[in-house]
Amino acid sequence: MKALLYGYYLDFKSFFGIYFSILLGLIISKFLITPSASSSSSLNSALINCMIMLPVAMMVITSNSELKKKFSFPVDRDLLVLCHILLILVLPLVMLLMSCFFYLVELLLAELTLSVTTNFFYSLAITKSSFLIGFAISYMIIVCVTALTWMVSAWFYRHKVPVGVIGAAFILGLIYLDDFRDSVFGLIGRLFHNPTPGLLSLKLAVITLAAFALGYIPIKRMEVK
Amino acid sequence: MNVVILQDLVKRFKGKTALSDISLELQENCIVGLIGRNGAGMTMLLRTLAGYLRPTKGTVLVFGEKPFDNIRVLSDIMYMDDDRFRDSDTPKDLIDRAALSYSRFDKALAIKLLDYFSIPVKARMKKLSKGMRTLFSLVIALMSRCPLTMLDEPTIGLDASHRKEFASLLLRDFANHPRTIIISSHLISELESLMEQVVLIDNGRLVFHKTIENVQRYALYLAGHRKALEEVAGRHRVICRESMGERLVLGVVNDLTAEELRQLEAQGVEISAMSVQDVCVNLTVPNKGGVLDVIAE
Repeated sequence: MKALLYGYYLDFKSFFGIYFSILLGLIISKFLITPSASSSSSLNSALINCMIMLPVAMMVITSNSELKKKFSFPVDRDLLVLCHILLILVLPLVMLLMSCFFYLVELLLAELTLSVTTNFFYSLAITKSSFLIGFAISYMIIVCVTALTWMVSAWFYRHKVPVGVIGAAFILGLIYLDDFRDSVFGLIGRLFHNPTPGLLSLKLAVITLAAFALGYIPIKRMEVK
Repeated sequence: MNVVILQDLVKRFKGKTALSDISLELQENCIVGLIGRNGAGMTMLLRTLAGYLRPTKGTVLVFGEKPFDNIRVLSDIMYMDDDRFRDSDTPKDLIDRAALSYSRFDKALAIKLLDYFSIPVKARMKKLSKGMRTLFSLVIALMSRCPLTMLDEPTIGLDASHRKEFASLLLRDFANHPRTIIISSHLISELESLMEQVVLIDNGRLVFHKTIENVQRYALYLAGHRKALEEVAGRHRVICRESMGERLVLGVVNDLTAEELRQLEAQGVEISAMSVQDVCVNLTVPNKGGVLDVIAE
Protein backbone atom coordinates (compact mmCIF):
# COMPACT_ATOMS: atom_id res chain seq x y z
CA MET A 1 0.00 0.00 0.00
CA LYS A 2 2.82 2.38 0.98
CA ALA A 3 4.68 1.68 -2.25
CA LEU A 4 1.55 2.12 -4.33
CA LEU A 5 0.66 5.40 -2.65
CA TYR A 6 4.25 6.57 -3.08
CA GLY A 7 3.95 5.68 -6.78
CA TYR A 8 0.77 7.73 -7.12
CA TYR A 9 2.37 10.59 -5.19
CA LEU A 10 5.16 10.61 -7.78
CA ASP A 11 2.63 10.42 -10.62
CA PHE A 12 0.57 13.32 -9.31
CA LYS A 13 3.42 15.68 -8.47
CA SER A 14 3.40 17.09 -11.99
CA PHE A 15 -0.42 17.11 -11.98
CA PHE A 16 -0.43 19.50 -9.04
CA GLY A 17 2.31 21.50 -10.72
CA ILE A 18 -0.02 22.04 -13.69
CA TYR A 19 -2.91 23.02 -11.43
CA PHE A 20 -0.69 25.41 -9.47
CA SER A 21 0.50 27.04 -12.71
CA ILE A 22 -3.08 27.47 -13.97
CA LEU A 23 -4.21 29.18 -10.78
CA LEU A 24 -1.11 31.37 -10.63
CA GLY A 25 -1.52 32.29 -14.29
CA LEU A 26 -5.18 33.23 -13.74
CA ILE A 27 -4.40 35.52 -10.82
CA ILE A 28 -1.47 37.21 -12.50
CA SER A 29 -3.38 37.74 -15.73
CA LYS A 30 -6.37 39.08 -13.82
CA PHE A 31 -4.36 41.67 -11.95
CA LEU A 32 -2.31 42.62 -15.00
CA ILE A 33 -5.10 42.80 -17.54
CA THR A 34 -8.25 43.93 -15.73
CA PRO A 35 -8.50 47.11 -13.67
CA SER A 36 -11.06 45.61 -11.33
CA ALA A 37 -11.81 42.33 -9.62
CA SER A 38 -15.38 41.62 -8.75
CA SER A 39 -14.90 37.99 -7.87
CA SER A 40 -12.18 35.55 -6.94
CA SER A 41 -10.62 34.02 -10.05
CA SER A 42 -9.07 31.18 -8.06
CA LEU A 43 -12.35 30.17 -6.42
CA ASN A 44 -14.29 30.56 -9.65
CA SER A 45 -11.86 28.54 -11.66
CA ALA A 46 -11.29 25.84 -9.06
CA LEU A 47 -14.52 23.98 -9.78
CA ILE A 48 -14.07 24.13 -13.57
CA ASN A 49 -10.40 23.20 -13.38
CA CYS A 50 -11.10 20.27 -11.10
CA MET A 51 -14.00 19.14 -13.28
CA ILE A 52 -11.69 18.99 -16.27
CA MET A 53 -8.40 17.84 -14.77
CA LEU A 54 -9.68 15.17 -12.42
CA PRO A 55 -11.82 13.26 -14.94
CA VAL A 56 -8.87 13.29 -17.35
CA ALA A 57 -6.64 11.97 -14.55
CA MET A 58 -9.19 9.22 -13.83
CA MET A 59 -9.25 8.22 -17.48
CA VAL A 60 -5.46 7.94 -17.37
CA ILE A 61 -5.11 5.97 -14.14
CA THR A 62 -7.68 3.37 -15.18
CA SER A 63 -6.12 2.76 -18.61
CA ASN A 64 -4.54 -0.63 -19.30
CA SER A 65 -1.06 0.77 -19.84
CA GLU A 66 -1.07 2.71 -16.57
CA LEU A 67 -2.41 -0.21 -14.59
CA LYS A 68 0.24 -2.46 -16.10
CA LYS A 69 2.92 -0.10 -14.79
CA LYS A 70 1.35 -0.24 -11.35
CA PHE A 71 1.64 -4.01 -11.40
CA SER A 72 5.43 -3.68 -11.76
CA PHE A 73 5.44 -3.91 -8.00
CA PRO A 74 3.25 -6.26 -5.97
CA VAL A 75 -0.32 -5.08 -5.73
CA ASP A 76 -3.69 -6.75 -5.68
CA ARG A 77 -6.84 -5.36 -7.18
CA ASP A 78 -8.50 -4.49 -3.85
CA LEU A 79 -5.48 -2.43 -2.88
CA LEU A 80 -5.50 -0.74 -6.25
CA VAL A 81 -9.16 0.23 -5.96
CA LEU A 82 -8.61 1.42 -2.40
CA CYS A 83 -5.77 3.63 -3.63
CA HIS A 84 -7.94 4.98 -6.43
CA ILE A 85 -10.72 5.79 -3.96
CA LEU A 86 -8.22 7.55 -1.73
CA LEU A 87 -7.04 9.54 -4.74
CA ILE A 88 -10.62 10.47 -5.65
CA LEU A 89 -11.18 11.71 -2.10
CA VAL A 90 -7.83 13.41 -1.54
CA LEU A 91 -7.04 15.01 -4.90
CA PRO A 92 -10.12 17.32 -4.97
CA LEU A 93 -9.46 18.28 -1.36
CA VAL A 94 -5.86 19.26 -2.09
CA MET A 95 -6.93 21.11 -5.23
CA LEU A 96 -9.64 23.02 -3.40
CA LEU A 97 -7.23 23.87 -0.57
CA MET A 98 -4.77 25.15 -3.15
CA SER A 99 -7.56 27.28 -4.62
CA CYS A 100 -8.35 28.67 -1.17
CA PHE A 101 -4.69 29.48 -0.64
CA PHE A 102 -4.70 31.36 -3.92
CA TYR A 103 -7.88 33.12 -2.85
CA LEU A 104 -5.95 34.47 0.14
CA VAL A 105 -3.09 35.48 -2.14
CA GLU A 106 -5.63 37.22 -4.33
CA LEU A 107 -7.09 39.08 -1.36
CA LEU A 108 -3.62 40.16 -0.33
CA LEU A 109 -2.83 41.37 -3.83
CA ALA A 110 -6.11 43.28 -3.96
CA GLU A 111 -5.38 44.96 -0.61
CA LEU A 112 -1.89 45.86 -1.80
CA THR A 113 -3.23 47.25 -5.06
CA LEU A 114 -5.86 49.27 -3.21
CA SER A 115 -3.21 50.72 -0.90
CA VAL A 116 -1.17 52.09 -3.80
CA THR A 117 -3.92 53.16 -6.19
CA THR A 118 -7.47 54.42 -6.03
CA ASN A 119 -8.07 53.44 -9.63
CA PHE A 120 -9.00 49.90 -8.66
CA PHE A 121 -12.22 48.26 -7.56
CA TYR A 122 -12.44 45.00 -5.67
CA SER A 123 -15.61 43.45 -4.36
CA LEU A 124 -16.09 40.01 -3.01
CA ALA A 125 -19.12 38.92 -1.08
CA ILE A 126 -17.96 35.76 0.63
CA THR A 127 -18.89 35.14 4.23
CA LYS A 128 -17.41 32.46 6.46
CA SER A 129 -20.55 30.30 6.32
CA SER A 130 -21.07 30.70 2.56
CA PHE A 131 -17.41 29.85 2.07
CA LEU A 132 -17.62 26.68 4.19
CA ILE A 133 -20.86 25.49 2.57
CA GLY A 134 -19.48 26.32 -0.86
CA PHE A 135 -16.30 24.44 -0.10
CA ALA A 136 -18.15 21.36 1.14
CA ILE A 137 -20.65 21.26 -1.73
CA SER A 138 -17.94 21.94 -4.32
CA TYR A 139 -15.85 19.16 -2.83
CA MET A 140 -18.72 16.70 -2.94
CA ILE A 141 -19.70 17.62 -6.50
CA ILE A 142 -16.11 17.25 -7.68
CA VAL A 143 -15.69 13.93 -5.86
CA CYS A 144 -18.96 12.66 -7.32
CA VAL A 145 -18.08 13.65 -10.90
CA THR A 146 -14.57 12.22 -10.49
CA ALA A 147 -15.93 8.95 -9.09
CA LEU A 148 -18.43 8.67 -11.96
CA THR A 149 -15.67 9.25 -14.52
CA TRP A 150 -13.48 6.68 -12.77
CA MET A 151 -16.31 4.15 -12.84
CA VAL A 152 -17.09 4.73 -16.53
CA SER A 153 -13.37 4.59 -17.44
CA ALA A 154 -12.86 1.41 -15.42
CA TRP A 155 -15.65 -0.25 -17.43
CA PHE A 156 -14.65 1.32 -20.72
CA TYR A 157 -11.01 0.11 -20.74
CA ARG A 158 -12.07 -3.44 -19.82
CA HIS A 159 -15.09 -3.61 -22.21
CA LYS A 160 -14.44 -1.04 -24.91
CA VAL A 161 -17.01 -2.15 -27.47
CA PRO A 162 -20.15 -2.51 -25.31
CA VAL A 163 -19.38 0.57 -23.20
CA GLY A 164 -18.48 2.54 -26.32
CA VAL A 165 -21.73 1.56 -28.06
CA ILE A 166 -23.87 2.36 -25.00
CA GLY A 167 -22.02 5.66 -24.45
CA ALA A 168 -22.34 6.69 -28.08
CA ALA A 169 -26.04 5.76 -28.12
CA PHE A 170 -26.60 7.79 -24.95
CA ILE A 171 -24.83 10.87 -26.33
CA LEU A 172 -26.60 10.60 -29.70
CA GLY A 173 -29.89 10.21 -27.85
CA LEU A 174 -29.19 13.37 -25.88
CA ILE A 175 -28.42 15.26 -29.08
CA TYR A 176 -31.13 14.01 -31.41
CA LEU A 177 -34.03 12.70 -29.27
CA ASP A 178 -35.84 15.56 -27.59
CA ASP A 179 -37.99 13.32 -25.38
CA PHE A 180 -34.98 11.34 -24.21
CA ARG A 181 -33.00 14.52 -23.51
CA ASP A 182 -35.92 16.06 -21.60
CA SER A 183 -36.42 12.95 -19.51
CA VAL A 184 -32.68 12.68 -18.66
CA PHE A 185 -32.42 16.34 -17.71
CA GLY A 186 -35.75 16.08 -15.90
CA LEU A 187 -34.44 13.20 -13.86
CA ILE A 188 -31.27 15.10 -12.97
CA GLY A 189 -33.36 18.15 -12.16
CA ARG A 190 -35.69 16.18 -9.88
CA LEU A 191 -32.72 14.56 -8.19
CA PHE A 192 -31.07 17.86 -7.32
CA HIS A 193 -34.12 20.12 -7.26
CA ASN A 194 -33.86 22.79 -4.60
CA PRO A 195 -32.41 20.62 -1.88
CA THR A 196 -30.83 21.75 1.35
CA PRO A 197 -27.02 21.52 1.38
CA GLY A 198 -27.32 18.50 3.67
CA LEU A 199 -29.75 16.67 1.40
CA LEU A 200 -27.68 17.51 -1.66
CA SER A 201 -24.55 16.20 0.10
CA LEU A 202 -26.37 13.01 0.99
CA LYS A 203 -27.50 12.45 -2.59
CA LEU A 204 -24.01 13.15 -3.91
CA ALA A 205 -22.50 10.77 -1.33
CA VAL A 206 -24.89 7.97 -2.36
CA ILE A 207 -24.08 8.46 -6.05
CA THR A 208 -20.36 8.52 -5.23
CA LEU A 209 -20.56 5.30 -3.22
CA ALA A 210 -22.54 3.65 -6.00
CA ALA A 211 -19.86 4.72 -8.50
CA PHE A 212 -17.14 3.24 -6.28
CA ALA A 213 -19.02 -0.05 -6.03
CA LEU A 214 -19.71 -0.25 -9.77
CA GLY A 215 -16.14 0.73 -10.70
CA TYR A 216 -14.74 -1.94 -8.39
CA ILE A 217 -16.34 -4.77 -10.40
CA PRO A 218 -14.35 -4.51 -13.66
CA ILE A 219 -11.07 -3.77 -11.88
CA LYS A 220 -11.49 -6.73 -9.55
CA ARG A 221 -12.01 -9.06 -12.52
CA MET A 222 -9.48 -7.50 -14.90
CA GLU A 223 -6.40 -9.17 -16.27
CA VAL A 224 -3.27 -7.07 -16.61
CA LYS A 225 -2.56 -6.82 -20.33
CA MET B 1 9.69 -27.96 -2.22
CA ASN B 2 7.90 -27.03 -5.45
CA VAL B 3 7.71 -23.30 -6.03
CA VAL B 4 5.54 -23.61 -9.12
CA ILE B 5 2.94 -26.27 -9.84
CA LEU B 6 0.96 -26.19 -13.07
CA GLN B 7 -1.70 -28.81 -13.74
CA ASP B 8 -3.37 -28.97 -17.14
CA LEU B 9 -3.06 -25.22 -17.53
CA VAL B 10 -5.08 -23.79 -20.39
CA LYS B 11 -5.12 -20.11 -21.24
CA ARG B 12 -7.28 -18.75 -24.00
CA PHE B 13 -6.66 -15.21 -25.09
CA LYS B 14 -8.72 -13.30 -27.65
CA GLY B 15 -10.29 -16.51 -28.91
CA LYS B 16 -6.94 -18.25 -29.34
CA THR B 17 -5.51 -21.00 -27.17
CA ALA B 18 -2.22 -19.52 -26.00
CA LEU B 19 -1.35 -22.24 -23.47
CA SER B 20 -2.62 -25.76 -23.79
CA ASP B 21 -2.61 -28.48 -21.11
CA ILE B 22 0.66 -27.50 -19.49
CA SER B 23 1.62 -29.54 -16.45
CA LEU B 24 4.89 -28.62 -14.82
CA GLU B 25 6.61 -28.48 -11.45
CA LEU B 26 9.55 -26.24 -10.64
CA GLN B 27 11.54 -26.72 -7.47
CA GLU B 28 12.98 -24.00 -5.29
CA ASN B 29 16.48 -22.62 -5.73
CA CYS B 30 17.18 -23.38 -9.35
CA ILE B 31 17.66 -21.39 -12.53
CA VAL B 32 15.21 -22.42 -15.23
CA GLY B 33 15.46 -21.44 -18.87
CA LEU B 34 12.09 -20.99 -20.53
CA ILE B 35 12.69 -21.53 -24.21
CA GLY B 36 10.47 -21.29 -27.24
CA ARG B 37 9.94 -19.56 -30.53
CA ASN B 38 8.35 -16.12 -30.78
CA GLY B 39 4.67 -16.43 -29.89
CA ALA B 40 5.13 -19.86 -28.31
CA GLY B 41 3.40 -18.71 -25.12
CA MET B 42 6.38 -18.03 -22.83
CA THR B 43 5.31 -14.52 -21.89
CA MET B 44 1.75 -15.71 -21.39
CA LEU B 45 3.00 -18.42 -19.05
CA LEU B 46 5.15 -15.98 -17.06
CA ARG B 47 2.29 -13.49 -16.79
CA THR B 48 -0.02 -16.20 -15.56
CA LEU B 49 2.54 -17.15 -12.91
CA ALA B 50 2.92 -13.47 -12.01
CA GLY B 51 -0.80 -13.20 -11.33
CA TYR B 52 -1.45 -10.87 -14.24
CA LEU B 53 -3.68 -13.34 -16.03
CA ARG B 54 -6.29 -15.77 -14.78
CA PRO B 55 -6.01 -19.32 -16.13
CA THR B 56 -8.91 -20.37 -18.35
CA LYS B 57 -8.67 -23.95 -17.09
CA GLY B 58 -6.37 -25.98 -14.89
CA THR B 59 -4.43 -25.13 -11.78
CA VAL B 60 -1.65 -22.62 -11.21
CA LEU B 61 -0.02 -22.70 -7.81
CA VAL B 62 2.92 -20.55 -6.76
CA PHE B 63 4.22 -21.24 -3.24
CA GLY B 64 1.15 -23.46 -2.87
CA GLU B 65 -1.37 -20.69 -3.59
CA LYS B 66 -3.13 -19.24 -6.61
CA PRO B 67 -1.19 -16.13 -7.68
CA PHE B 68 -4.05 -14.22 -9.33
CA ASP B 69 -4.93 -11.23 -7.15
CA ASN B 70 -3.08 -12.75 -4.19
CA ILE B 71 -0.86 -10.15 -2.53
CA ARG B 72 0.79 -12.72 -0.22
CA VAL B 73 2.12 -14.61 -3.22
CA LEU B 74 2.79 -11.55 -5.35
CA SER B 75 5.02 -10.05 -2.65
CA ASP B 76 7.41 -12.96 -3.26
CA ILE B 77 7.30 -12.76 -7.04
CA MET B 78 9.32 -10.50 -9.28
CA TYR B 79 8.31 -10.45 -12.94
CA MET B 80 10.41 -8.27 -15.16
CA ASP B 81 9.94 -7.58 -18.83
CA ASP B 82 11.14 -4.69 -20.97
CA ASP B 83 8.16 -2.40 -20.43
CA ARG B 84 7.72 -2.07 -16.70
CA PHE B 85 8.21 1.56 -15.84
CA ARG B 86 6.69 4.89 -16.76
CA ASP B 87 8.79 7.20 -18.89
CA SER B 88 8.42 9.96 -16.34
CA ASP B 89 9.79 7.89 -13.43
CA THR B 90 13.40 8.22 -12.35
CA PRO B 91 15.60 5.29 -11.29
CA LYS B 92 15.82 6.80 -7.81
CA ASP B 93 12.01 6.89 -7.44
CA LEU B 94 11.74 3.32 -8.66
CA ILE B 95 14.49 2.11 -6.33
CA ASP B 96 12.61 3.72 -3.45
CA ARG B 97 9.39 2.01 -4.54
CA ALA B 98 11.13 -1.33 -4.87
CA ALA B 99 12.58 -0.91 -1.37
CA LEU B 100 9.07 -0.25 -0.05
CA SER B 101 7.60 -3.17 -1.98
CA TYR B 102 10.11 -5.96 -1.35
CA SER B 103 11.29 -6.73 2.15
CA ARG B 104 14.51 -8.34 0.89
CA PHE B 105 15.41 -5.57 -1.56
CA ASP B 106 19.11 -4.63 -1.29
CA LYS B 107 18.93 -0.89 -1.90
CA ALA B 108 22.57 -0.16 -1.12
CA LEU B 109 23.85 -2.73 -3.61
CA ALA B 110 21.29 -1.63 -6.18
CA ILE B 111 22.57 1.95 -6.01
CA LYS B 112 26.17 0.71 -6.26
CA LEU B 113 25.28 -1.31 -9.34
CA LEU B 114 23.53 1.64 -10.98
CA ASP B 115 26.64 3.69 -10.33
CA TYR B 116 28.82 0.92 -11.81
CA PHE B 117 26.66 0.75 -14.93
CA SER B 118 26.73 4.58 -15.15
CA ILE B 119 22.94 4.83 -14.95
CA PRO B 120 21.99 8.34 -13.82
CA VAL B 121 19.61 7.90 -10.91
CA LYS B 122 17.90 11.25 -11.30
CA ALA B 123 17.29 11.11 -15.05
CA ARG B 124 13.84 10.21 -16.29
CA MET B 125 13.49 6.71 -17.71
CA LYS B 126 12.69 8.10 -21.17
CA LYS B 127 16.14 9.72 -21.24
CA LEU B 128 17.89 6.40 -20.72
CA SER B 129 19.02 4.28 -23.67
CA LYS B 130 17.37 0.93 -24.32
CA GLY B 131 20.39 -0.87 -22.87
CA MET B 132 20.39 1.27 -19.75
CA ARG B 133 16.68 0.67 -19.19
CA THR B 134 17.25 -3.05 -19.51
CA LEU B 135 20.19 -2.94 -17.10
CA PHE B 136 18.14 -0.92 -14.65
CA SER B 137 15.28 -3.43 -14.85
CA LEU B 138 17.71 -6.26 -14.22
CA VAL B 139 19.20 -4.51 -11.20
CA ILE B 140 15.72 -4.02 -9.73
CA ALA B 141 14.75 -7.61 -10.53
CA LEU B 142 17.84 -9.21 -9.04
CA MET B 143 18.12 -6.96 -6.01
CA SER B 144 14.49 -7.64 -5.06
CA ARG B 145 15.73 -11.13 -4.08
CA CYS B 146 12.25 -12.53 -4.57
CA PRO B 147 11.96 -16.30 -4.02
CA LEU B 148 10.49 -16.47 -7.52
CA THR B 149 12.17 -14.14 -9.98
CA MET B 150 11.03 -14.20 -13.59
CA LEU B 151 12.99 -12.41 -16.28
CA ASP B 152 11.29 -12.12 -19.64
CA GLU B 153 13.88 -11.56 -22.37
CA PRO B 154 16.33 -9.99 -19.90
CA THR B 155 19.11 -9.24 -22.35
CA ILE B 156 17.16 -7.28 -24.97
CA GLY B 157 19.15 -4.22 -25.94
CA LEU B 158 22.29 -5.24 -24.05
CA ASP B 159 25.64 -5.31 -25.78
CA ALA B 160 27.89 -8.38 -25.51
CA SER B 161 29.90 -7.10 -22.55
CA HIS B 162 26.81 -6.16 -20.59
CA ARG B 163 25.26 -9.55 -21.34
CA LYS B 164 28.38 -11.14 -19.90
CA GLU B 165 28.25 -8.93 -16.84
CA PHE B 166 24.57 -9.70 -16.37
CA ALA B 167 25.39 -13.42 -16.39
CA SER B 168 28.15 -12.94 -13.80
CA LEU B 169 25.91 -10.78 -11.62
CA LEU B 170 23.06 -13.26 -11.81
CA LEU B 171 25.25 -16.23 -10.93
CA ARG B 172 26.98 -14.49 -8.03
CA ASP B 173 23.73 -13.16 -6.61
CA PHE B 174 22.10 -16.55 -7.03
CA ALA B 175 25.01 -18.20 -5.20
CA ASN B 176 24.71 -15.73 -2.33
CA HIS B 177 20.91 -15.72 -2.25
CA PRO B 178 19.55 -18.92 -3.79
CA ARG B 179 16.06 -18.68 -5.22
CA THR B 180 14.06 -19.84 -8.21
CA ILE B 181 14.86 -17.80 -11.28
CA ILE B 182 13.02 -18.32 -14.56
CA ILE B 183 14.68 -16.76 -17.59
CA SER B 184 12.81 -16.62 -20.84
CA SER B 185 15.12 -15.95 -23.72
CA HIS B 186 15.91 -16.63 -27.34
CA LEU B 187 19.68 -16.32 -26.75
CA ILE B 188 19.94 -19.94 -25.69
CA SER B 189 23.65 -20.37 -26.31
CA GLU B 190 24.53 -17.41 -24.10
CA LEU B 191 22.30 -18.49 -21.27
CA GLU B 192 23.23 -22.17 -21.44
CA SER B 193 25.89 -21.72 -18.79
CA LEU B 194 23.31 -20.19 -16.42
CA MET B 195 20.48 -22.67 -16.72
CA GLU B 196 20.09 -25.72 -14.55
CA GLN B 197 16.81 -26.76 -16.12
CA VAL B 198 15.17 -26.13 -19.46
CA VAL B 199 11.46 -25.82 -20.14
CA LEU B 200 10.73 -25.92 -23.85
CA ILE B 201 7.39 -24.65 -25.11
CA ASP B 202 6.01 -24.76 -28.61
CA ASN B 203 2.65 -23.40 -29.76
CA GLY B 204 1.49 -23.16 -26.15
CA ARG B 205 2.33 -26.79 -25.39
CA LEU B 206 5.06 -28.12 -23.15
CA VAL B 207 7.62 -29.99 -25.25
CA PHE B 208 9.84 -31.00 -22.34
CA HIS B 209 11.15 -30.04 -18.93
CA LYS B 210 14.65 -31.44 -18.40
CA THR B 211 17.88 -30.67 -16.63
CA ILE B 212 20.45 -28.91 -18.79
CA GLU B 213 22.66 -32.01 -18.73
CA ASN B 214 19.83 -34.09 -20.14
CA VAL B 215 19.19 -31.54 -22.87
CA GLN B 216 22.88 -31.47 -23.72
CA ARG B 217 22.71 -35.28 -24.14
CA TYR B 218 19.26 -35.23 -25.73
CA ALA B 219 20.22 -35.52 -29.38
CA LEU B 220 23.11 -36.28 -31.71
CA TYR B 221 24.14 -35.17 -35.15
CA LEU B 222 25.07 -38.02 -37.40
CA ALA B 223 26.80 -37.04 -40.63
CA GLY B 224 27.79 -39.55 -43.25
CA HIS B 225 26.77 -41.48 -46.33
CA ARG B 226 23.04 -41.60 -46.98
CA LYS B 227 23.03 -45.40 -47.22
CA ALA B 228 24.50 -45.85 -43.75
CA LEU B 229 22.18 -43.34 -42.13
CA GLU B 230 18.81 -44.17 -43.73
CA GLU B 231 18.69 -47.36 -41.72
CA VAL B 232 19.36 -45.41 -38.49
CA ALA B 233 16.61 -42.99 -39.43
CA GLY B 234 14.16 -45.87 -39.55
CA ARG B 235 15.00 -47.03 -36.04
CA HIS B 236 15.32 -43.74 -34.17
CA ARG B 237 13.39 -40.51 -33.89
CA VAL B 238 14.77 -38.01 -36.36
CA ILE B 239 14.36 -34.35 -35.37
CA CYS B 240 16.21 -32.80 -38.29
CA ARG B 241 17.49 -33.90 -41.62
CA GLU B 242 19.68 -32.19 -44.17
CA SER B 243 21.04 -33.78 -47.32
CA MET B 244 23.76 -32.68 -49.68
CA GLY B 245 23.94 -35.13 -52.55
CA GLU B 246 24.82 -38.51 -51.11
CA ARG B 247 25.88 -37.00 -47.81
CA LEU B 248 23.21 -36.89 -45.13
CA VAL B 249 23.14 -35.11 -41.79
CA LEU B 250 20.62 -36.45 -39.33
CA GLY B 251 19.67 -35.09 -35.96
CA VAL B 252 18.40 -38.02 -33.90
CA VAL B 253 17.19 -38.37 -30.36
CA ASN B 254 20.05 -39.89 -28.43
CA ASP B 255 18.73 -43.30 -27.51
CA LEU B 256 21.44 -45.10 -29.47
CA THR B 257 23.24 -47.90 -27.73
CA ALA B 258 27.03 -47.93 -27.35
CA GLU B 259 27.12 -50.77 -29.85
CA GLU B 260 25.18 -48.79 -32.46
CA LEU B 261 27.46 -45.80 -31.99
CA ARG B 262 30.52 -48.01 -32.41
CA GLN B 263 29.10 -49.50 -35.62
CA LEU B 264 28.28 -46.07 -37.04
CA GLU B 265 31.78 -44.83 -36.28
CA ALA B 266 33.13 -47.90 -38.01
CA GLN B 267 31.04 -46.97 -41.09
CA GLY B 268 32.67 -43.54 -41.14
CA VAL B 269 29.71 -41.64 -39.69
CA GLU B 270 30.70 -38.48 -37.83
CA ILE B 271 28.93 -38.24 -34.48
CA SER B 272 28.62 -35.02 -32.51
CA ALA B 273 26.40 -33.79 -29.71
CA MET B 274 23.60 -31.45 -30.68
CA SER B 275 23.81 -28.09 -28.90
CA VAL B 276 21.01 -27.07 -26.57
CA GLN B 277 20.08 -24.31 -29.00
CA ASP B 278 19.84 -26.75 -31.90
CA VAL B 279 17.77 -29.18 -29.83
CA CYS B 280 15.31 -26.42 -28.99
CA VAL B 281 15.20 -25.12 -32.56
CA ASN B 282 14.78 -28.55 -34.11
CA LEU B 283 12.05 -29.62 -31.71
CA THR B 284 10.00 -26.52 -32.37
CA VAL B 285 10.44 -26.19 -36.10
CA PRO B 286 7.10 -25.47 -37.80
CA ASN B 287 5.69 -28.12 -40.14
CA LYS B 288 5.85 -25.93 -43.19
CA GLY B 289 9.40 -26.32 -44.40
CA GLY B 290 12.00 -23.61 -43.97
CA VAL B 291 12.25 -20.04 -45.13
CA LEU B 292 14.40 -21.21 -48.04
CA ASP B 293 11.47 -23.29 -49.30
CA VAL B 294 9.39 -20.11 -49.47
CA ILE B 295 12.06 -18.43 -51.58
CA ALA B 296 12.39 -21.54 -53.76
CA GLU B 297 8.64 -21.51 -54.44
